[in-house]
Amino acid sequence: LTRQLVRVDDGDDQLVLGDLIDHLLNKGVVIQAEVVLSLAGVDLVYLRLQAMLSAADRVRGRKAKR
Amino acid sequence: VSGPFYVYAILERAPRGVRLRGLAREPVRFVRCGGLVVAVGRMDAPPAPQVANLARHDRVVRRLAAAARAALPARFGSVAPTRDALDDALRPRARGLARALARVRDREQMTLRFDGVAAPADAREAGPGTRHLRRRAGADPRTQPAVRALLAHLAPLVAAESVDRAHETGIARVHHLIARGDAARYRRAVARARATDPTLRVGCTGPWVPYGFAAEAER
Repeated sequence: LTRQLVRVDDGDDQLVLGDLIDHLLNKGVVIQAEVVLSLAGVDLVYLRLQAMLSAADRVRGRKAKR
Repeated sequence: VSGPFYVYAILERAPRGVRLRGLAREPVRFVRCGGLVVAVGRMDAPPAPQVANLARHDRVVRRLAAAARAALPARFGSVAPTRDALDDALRPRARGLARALARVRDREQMTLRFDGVAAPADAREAGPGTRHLRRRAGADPRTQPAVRALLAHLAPLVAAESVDRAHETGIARVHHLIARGDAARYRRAVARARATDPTLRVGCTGPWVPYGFAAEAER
């Protein structure tokens, strides 16, 4: 991945990863969809999507508060 | 081609001579839908959104974008169970999607990330209702003079801009559409702005396919 993305902040993989997650889970054309979230090996969250997906970090944040 | 379909991207036309494998190694196929072309793979279940799968999805969309003048990425996890479901989802939006495709044609996206973006001081002094509404709206990084100066510096390279305001995380992003091939000039311009103003805290990634301009242009 980092070979494909050219960055100002060389070596900051977290920056690229954060943008990758935000772009893929928060952006793009939405088709009615189903998805099972299992980011970074945390608990599975099943979502039925009609419109918008929450950002992965927000989903993880909500689960952490439970 | 029969479903279920995992959707990668929407294109103006099927790229010639492109043979791609999707994130489950399935062949990527092109389906006509409402005057557009949808790049799909046959997949019985949506992939788990693990980082490796996100990166694979991104890689497939990048290859599609490299083979086409315009590509709108689908959101990760988008599955249509049948061809009819795909038609139902996209045909009513075909005109907006065509406009969005025209907007991103021959362009790519750069993303600026600003950390620690807070609501302006007057929001903290306002009443609770106003504070709530302003929190929901999020904080616009462009209220900061250093950010405005950076954006003005980049303006000659920018064809379109979209902004993700900061919420609880304090992270805001500004996405720019630039001409394909201008990423190095853009990065140099960001680096120059950072050198001029050491207080400017900005990260820059790209080039990306235009994730930040796919849904926005449908409105």
